[in-house]
Order: sequence, then C-alpha cells, then structure tokens
Amino acid sequence: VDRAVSDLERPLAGLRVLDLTRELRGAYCGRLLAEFGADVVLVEPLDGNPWRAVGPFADDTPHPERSLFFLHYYAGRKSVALDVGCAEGRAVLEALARGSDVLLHDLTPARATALGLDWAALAAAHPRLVIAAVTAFGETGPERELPGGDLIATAAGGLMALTGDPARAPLRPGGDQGEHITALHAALAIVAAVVDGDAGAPAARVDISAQEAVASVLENAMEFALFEDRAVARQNGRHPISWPGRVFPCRDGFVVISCGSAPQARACFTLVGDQATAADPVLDDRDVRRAHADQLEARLIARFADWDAEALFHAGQGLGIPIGLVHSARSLTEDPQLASYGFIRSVTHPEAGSYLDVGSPFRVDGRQPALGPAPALAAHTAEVLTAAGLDADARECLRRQGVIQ
Amino acid sequence: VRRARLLDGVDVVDVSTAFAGPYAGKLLADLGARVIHVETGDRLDIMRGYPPFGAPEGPDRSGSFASINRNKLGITLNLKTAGGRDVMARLVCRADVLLENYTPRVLPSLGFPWEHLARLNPRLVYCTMPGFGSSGPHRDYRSYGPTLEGQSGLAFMTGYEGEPPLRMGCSYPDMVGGVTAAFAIVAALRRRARTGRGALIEVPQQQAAAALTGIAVVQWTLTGRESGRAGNAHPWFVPHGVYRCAGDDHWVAVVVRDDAAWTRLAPLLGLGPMTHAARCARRDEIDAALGRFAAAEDRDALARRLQALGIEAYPVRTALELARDAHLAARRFIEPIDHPTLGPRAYAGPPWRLAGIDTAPHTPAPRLGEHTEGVLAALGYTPAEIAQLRTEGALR
Repeated sequence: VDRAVSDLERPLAGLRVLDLTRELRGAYCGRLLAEFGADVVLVEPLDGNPWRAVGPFADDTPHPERSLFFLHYYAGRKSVALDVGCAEGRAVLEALARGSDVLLHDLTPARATALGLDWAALAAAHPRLVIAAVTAFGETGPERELPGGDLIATAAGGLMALTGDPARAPLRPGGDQGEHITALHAALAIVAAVVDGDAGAPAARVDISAQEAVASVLENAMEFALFEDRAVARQNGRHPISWPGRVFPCRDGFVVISCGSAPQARACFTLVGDQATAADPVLDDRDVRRAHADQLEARLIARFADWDAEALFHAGQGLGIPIGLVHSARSLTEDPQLASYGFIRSVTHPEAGSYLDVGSPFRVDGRQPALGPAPALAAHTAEVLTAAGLDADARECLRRQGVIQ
Repeated sequence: VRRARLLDGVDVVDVSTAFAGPYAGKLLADLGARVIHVETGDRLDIMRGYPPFGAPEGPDRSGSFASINRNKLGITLNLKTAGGRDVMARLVCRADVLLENYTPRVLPSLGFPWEHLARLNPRLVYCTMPGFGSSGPHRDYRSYGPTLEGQSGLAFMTGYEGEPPLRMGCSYPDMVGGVTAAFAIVAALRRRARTGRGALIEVPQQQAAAALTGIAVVQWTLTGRESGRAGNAHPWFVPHGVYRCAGDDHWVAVVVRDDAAWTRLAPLLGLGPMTHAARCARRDEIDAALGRFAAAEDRDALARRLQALGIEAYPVRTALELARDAHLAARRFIEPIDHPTLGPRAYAGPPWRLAGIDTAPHTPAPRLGEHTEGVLAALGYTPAEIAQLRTEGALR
C-alpha cells in the first residue's frame, strides 16, 4: 500500500512512454522520464538493443545483460523484443503506440519513414500522442539525415572547439556530455508538451537537435560570435574570464578553483601563506590578473605541492574560495556530501550482480526518486502485449512467426 | 525559432542570479511561461557585468545577460525591507513556480522558509538549486560551475591521455543545473495538474552534474577501472577521434561503430578488413593512418565524402562558424531580437521545434527594473503605494 501511494506521488506517474531509442541521447532521455515515475517500455530488435553488444562489460565478460552502457542508460525500463521490420511487427508497434502518451525515438526522418510507421495516421488516431525525435541534427534542414553520436554532436555543436589545448586536438569532454545535455533538453520539452496536453491542447511533434542542444550550453561563446563576430579560443582548461579558474595539481590529486572576485583571488595566496602576492595590486583587476596567469599560477602550484587535495578543499572553503575536489568515480562514491543525500544508488541485477550507479539529482518533497535496474531482453514482452490487448493465442502466433520474443 | 506557448499561463518568480538559475528561467520562458526575474539594484546580478557587451556602459549592456534573460519580465526589489518582502509575498501567492539559487540559509533568513511559502500558496512549485545541498556537511560551501566540474567527477574524465584533468571550455555544470531544474519543475507541474498540490523541489547542482558521469561509477564497481583521461578515444569504438585537416585549426571528427562502417573506411586508409578486436589492438596505427589521410584534405569536403560513404564524420565547428551555418540558418536556430539598449541582435536557441504548438515572438531581456511598476500594479498596488515603496527603498 505504501508503495502504491508513493508511486502516485511520483511526478510523472501514469505517463506511458514508448521508447524506440538506439542512441545514448534517446536512452538517457528515457531514463530521466523513468526516474520521475513514467512507465517506459523499450522496444528492442529480437537480438537486442545495439548497446547490449557494446563494452565494457561487467567483469569484462561480454554478455547482452552485462553491457555497462546498457545497464546504466536503459535502467528503469520494461523490455519488449519485437521485429518492427515486418507488417505484423509494425501492427504490434502501432498498438503499443495507441496505448502511449509519448513516443520517443532517435531516428532521422528517412529512417523513421523507412520504419514504415504511418506517422500521420498515428497522430490522427491518437491526437494527444507526443511524438519526440531526438536526433543529431534535427528533423529539418539540409543535414537532417546525418547520423552521429556524442563525438559528432560535440564537434558539430561547438563544444569540442572550446575544449583542450589550442595547439593540439580539440577535446571531447568525458562521459558523453553532448548526449546528456540533449536528453535533458528533450525531457524538458516532452514533459512541457505533456503538461500542455493535460490542459486539453493538441499534442506536439517535438524535434530536438543534439547539435543545437550543445550549442545552447557554450556559456557565452555563441554570444561572442553573435555580438562581436569573434571565436572564443580553446584555453587549455583555463576559464576565459575568471582567474584563477582551472584545475591545479596538489600532493595527492587535483583541485579546481574558480574565483570571480579580487578578494577570492587574494584568499588563494593567503591560503598558502604567500602574503606578498596576496597583497599585490596585480590581483585587483580581473583582466590584469588573467594577463599574469602563468607566473601567478606557478606560485600557487609550487605551494599546492605540499598540500593534500582534501585539506586544500576544506581550508580554501574556510576562506571563502570557490574550490572543489576533482573527484574520480571512486571518490564520488566516498564523498560525504553525496552520501548524506544517498545520491549513489545501489543496484542489484540478476546477471551483472550488485553495483553502484549515480542516482537522481532531484529531491521531490525530500525524497529521491527510485529507479529499477535495466531489463533483461524481452523480459516484459508478454506483460506489455497482454496489456495492449493481445491474448495468449495471438502472442504465441507472433512468436512462431518470429515477430516477438 | 519562436517562443512556444506550451507553458502559457504558468507564472514563474525567478529570484535567481548568475547562470544556473536564470538558465532554468530562460528555458521555462522559451516554453511560454511568464517569468518575472527579481533582481536587486543594490547588488547587481553578476551577469549584468559579464561579456560580451553590446553597449559602452550601464547595467543593460551585457549580451550574456540579454541572452539568458530573454522573454522574462524584470523587477527590482529589496528583500531586506518590509515593503520588499510584502511584494515578494504577493508574488508568491499568485505564482505557480518560485525558482531560486541562493545558498540554503538566505531565503529563510529573509522570512521565506519553505513552510511559510507553502502556507502562502499550497499550489506553489518551489525549486531550490543549492550548490551542494540544503543539508549535509558541505551545505555552506561555495560552488561555481567550474568547481562543480571537479566535484561532480566530470573533470577527471576530460583531458589528454596520460595528462592531468582539464576543465571543459564552458561552465557546463551551470547549464546542466538549469536544465535539470527546469525539467524537475515541469514534472512537478504535471503532478500538480493531477493532484492539485505544489511541491518542494531540490536540485543540488553537484548532483545534477555528477548524474552525468555516465557509466563511470558502474564501471568502477563492476570492473575496478576508473574512466580516466583518454583524449578523444572511446572505451569501445575504434577509430573515434578528430583528425587535423588542411587550414588553420581545422579538424574532422570520425567514428566507426561497426564492422560495416570500417569496411567502407578501410580502403581509403590502405588498410584491410578488421574485426572490432583487431581495430582495438591496432588503434594507434589506425589513428595514424587517418591522420595522414586527412592532413592535406579540405575539412568540409572530407566530411562530405565520408558521410556519403555512410561513415559518421563531421567538421569540428567553432561557435563563430555555427553563427554562419547554413543548416542552422535553415532551421532558424539563430534569430534577431530587438533590445532597447542593445538594438537588434541575433540570439541562439532553444534546441527544440514544436510542430502543432502556438508560438509568439521572443521579447528582449528586461532592462534593470523595467517592469517594476507594471508588475506591482498587476499585484494590486496603487500608484501612491508604489511611490511610497520606492521612497522606502523597497524597490531598489
């Protein structure tokens, strides 16, 4: 009973999402919707979603239920294995879509057409269905058919050109950020369309471009381009305006500092006992500080070599310096602040075993949303098809024809 | 792209400053919400002094501020005065959403703890986005976007192979916190539509960024390996990188995700068929071959040639190139907004198109205090009362 009550409390309780995604941006969008309580059904090919074949794998043992990408990005779904390449499979897909509020996919327009779904008929039969396409370049424009995952999105969206050493290759930020930022904007637009539908308005076709999502989060690089006709150069990890604003090595690891004011910059030198620099007028002005970055940073780096990161972090914060630890995955799992929120989530999976994963960054009325593990391939085919009105005989017939598994 | 009207009728009071909170407000405003940005003239929002600038001086010269606060109304209010708090209480009573990114003690110290806000308006969706959290051992610590790159685990994964961690080229956690908060707010609005009840939403920004470390924590616990710096290499796909072309800082990104794509690329490099395992074993050799292959080529022509072969490839674009990009122009990603101080200027975003949804033109970011009188009049204040509040310093 408690469980049922708390399920109703989840913001997206009752929202039915049909998930046809094959890229991480679509996959992460589905995970976000599932975290907030949506019922998300993943339709996989009979041999499984492509990420099931991508390593690394749990214990480095390749297996379709052990892909770390699949375990993380497809958590909280139900799995239906369905061959949508035949007429019978498409009929099942359309039946599933009729019972859904959101159809989430990441197919380019030509691939969506090739799938053979009658999108217009689908929209006509189900006027409140939100159809969301989360693609690399959007559904319109001359480059709409180009495929691409995270590297293409971060290259095309301007983030790589800003990241790394200007003398060397532009860098892709770690951990598929182009896909994540696209998924977040998509989830926002999709739920806004659903809220509008709740008010009785017609539903939307939502077209999200990964290139544009990346270009939307370049801090002010787009504004420099549009106001001053100027490209912001790569800064090798330095903040283009604040100083100090970079990662610093210390005795046992790294910290990152980002000072927005002269008092904060002075406090960095006070922290390490360099009173002469702390009092130097060179620190007064933001642009002057930054012009002397090399020599000023060298003084800090020399002194930080005597400090452990943890000690620097707490002492620096004590002086009001915006300073952060550079956490690894391991130290994230040991961070006392994250632990106080129960942010790191423990997952038990029948094939992959027990493991930790990052949790949800939302608290709703003080509670962290729950999220189930990634599904085994086809684990929910019978349950979902039964709910869509296909009885045991119909399902057996489809199984013998090789349409479902 | 015009402003959507999906959130028509949703009133948002945005008392946030700098980047993360205002970005959440911007996204809600782009979706059609009526967002009132509450500022104080005594201590200007730091974005009002953030480059680039479109006018020589004054609080309305910042292009960054204009971009992140478009489609909002702006009022100035001094919450340290009784009159300012009275205006705030009236705003909260009529609002659907209150958005703030102060440190945890600020709003309660001004007389607005959550319990009081919920009493004023039980339907209120209140979103707070502290750096670390409203509780926990680091609750009073400072954070900015760049420090959260470290604190979230993202910086650890970014950098050249064998070298120290690097910040990204933007204060990514700020925008992440903003879009995460906006998503949580609209989700809570959906629950309110179902139950009639508001919500207390907390989005600690450290957690919003740490949630985006992908498989790193899973990998640490299931393989014992960290996701350290690897340049542009991918843990599975080979090749996966950027390759220098002819021209000044011109690079093309190339990815092969399956054997079929490799079969199409390999002949161009003078290499033969290879399984995934063979490509992994010969990664350096393949990268070197791609590097030689690309070195003398025109970046855009090479990308088109590879795309035509069905290989994922794209030029590494700068923001300046995006501002002039034909594809984005065809999608009208960048459009002008006329601002009384900055004049007609082009602005980017949002990253969605919504067919079948009413839209409206964008409106420019508010000049400092531009809508104070109008908003107060709509709250029921008479001109004499507004003049009195101004005399008391409540509207600074």
